[in-house]
Amino acid sequence: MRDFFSLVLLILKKDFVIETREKLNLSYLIILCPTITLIISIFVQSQAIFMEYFLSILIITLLVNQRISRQEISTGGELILIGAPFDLSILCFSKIIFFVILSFIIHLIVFLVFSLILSMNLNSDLIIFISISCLFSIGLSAILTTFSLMLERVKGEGQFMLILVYPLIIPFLVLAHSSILSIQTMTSMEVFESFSFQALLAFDILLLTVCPILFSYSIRR
Amino acid sequence: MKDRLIISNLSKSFGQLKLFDAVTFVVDPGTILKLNGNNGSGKTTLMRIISSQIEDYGGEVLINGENIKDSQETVFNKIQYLAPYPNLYENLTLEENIDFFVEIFKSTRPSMKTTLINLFKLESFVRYKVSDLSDGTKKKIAILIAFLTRPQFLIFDEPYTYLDSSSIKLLNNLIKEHVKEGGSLIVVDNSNGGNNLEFSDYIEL
Repeated sequence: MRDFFSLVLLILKKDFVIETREKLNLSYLIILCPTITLIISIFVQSQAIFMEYFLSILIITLLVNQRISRQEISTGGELILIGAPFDLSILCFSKIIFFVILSFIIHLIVFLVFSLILSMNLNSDLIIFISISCLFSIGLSAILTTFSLMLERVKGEGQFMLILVYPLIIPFLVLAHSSILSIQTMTSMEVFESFSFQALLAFDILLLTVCPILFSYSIRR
Repeated sequence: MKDRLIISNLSKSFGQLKLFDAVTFVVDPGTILKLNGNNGSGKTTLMRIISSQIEDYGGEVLINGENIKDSQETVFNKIQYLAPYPNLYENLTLEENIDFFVEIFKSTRPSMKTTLINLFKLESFVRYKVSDLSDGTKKKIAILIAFLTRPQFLIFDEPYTYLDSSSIKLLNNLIKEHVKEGGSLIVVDNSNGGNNLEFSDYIEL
């Protein structure tokens, strides 16, 4: 088997070449993130700023994710690398990594908007907040990227089919929600040791392992 | 380059629809097979099965006696399927696409890149994004990549579509050279661009 990481890097490099030249996703994010964040902060008017933050991230992620998968589909509606001489889990893993990187940009923009406009105060909880944000994004990216890659091949119905996958992210959201709630009532150490945080971490590891394998198995069947 | 490709009792259904049944033939080194059939008879599906892109089928596909289901990496290094629509990244340039696929498929002759670009008269388009190029040019790029990688078995699905007469002639010359060196080809050609090729057998679906 060829070097796993050299192939992941090759696919990531290709994605970055496209992104740095076209800036398709970046310009999309720069417009979408502040808009969604502002809409949520204006209409939800909740005192729980963490919830607003995560709700913004969730909606933006759902909207952006399919763009990433669509880049891997040819004009004929087929996966461009379907005949590539390696396990397709490598492609799926690369796309997850690429989307996780984009997720950090999403977080950065949303965080800046909240900080500048709504005076988000996170000084004491910053480390735990960033940790939960990362775990939340990695898991969400793994589920959505895998399924949107698989379903993009369902010609004409890919977007509808992806909605059927949304219930799968609910257990993950419940864990993230409960971790976020615990930030306000527990110390950082207690949050790290809480069931919801550790389950979130376990879910991430599980999803990063299972999703690429599932993709590889399903795509050639 | 001396492997034999054996297709034995191949069958494929989509639900109630039986696409084909008990398809059996052999592809020997240095031969060209032409696959004929009406629209919807399963030609593309058969080619995708042989190139291991579909695994859910009945029967066996063997390369040198080894079932392709048991040796996928070997299969992808020995068989390449050229789809009717070129599978290229539209936002990469012509050259970036070639370089990417040369690395992905571990081309055995990357030094041929410039020669093939010149043969296909693509030198003035190397820095153009694929999305800005014509369908014929995209097809030439996909063919060029197939010949840069050049595994033993090339499976071409409508390779002549969109090509002009000089490109058809060039493609036929490249095919003849490939076959002369022991390579094999399965081709679906409804445009009859490959009429001057010597087919060793015709498969009807």
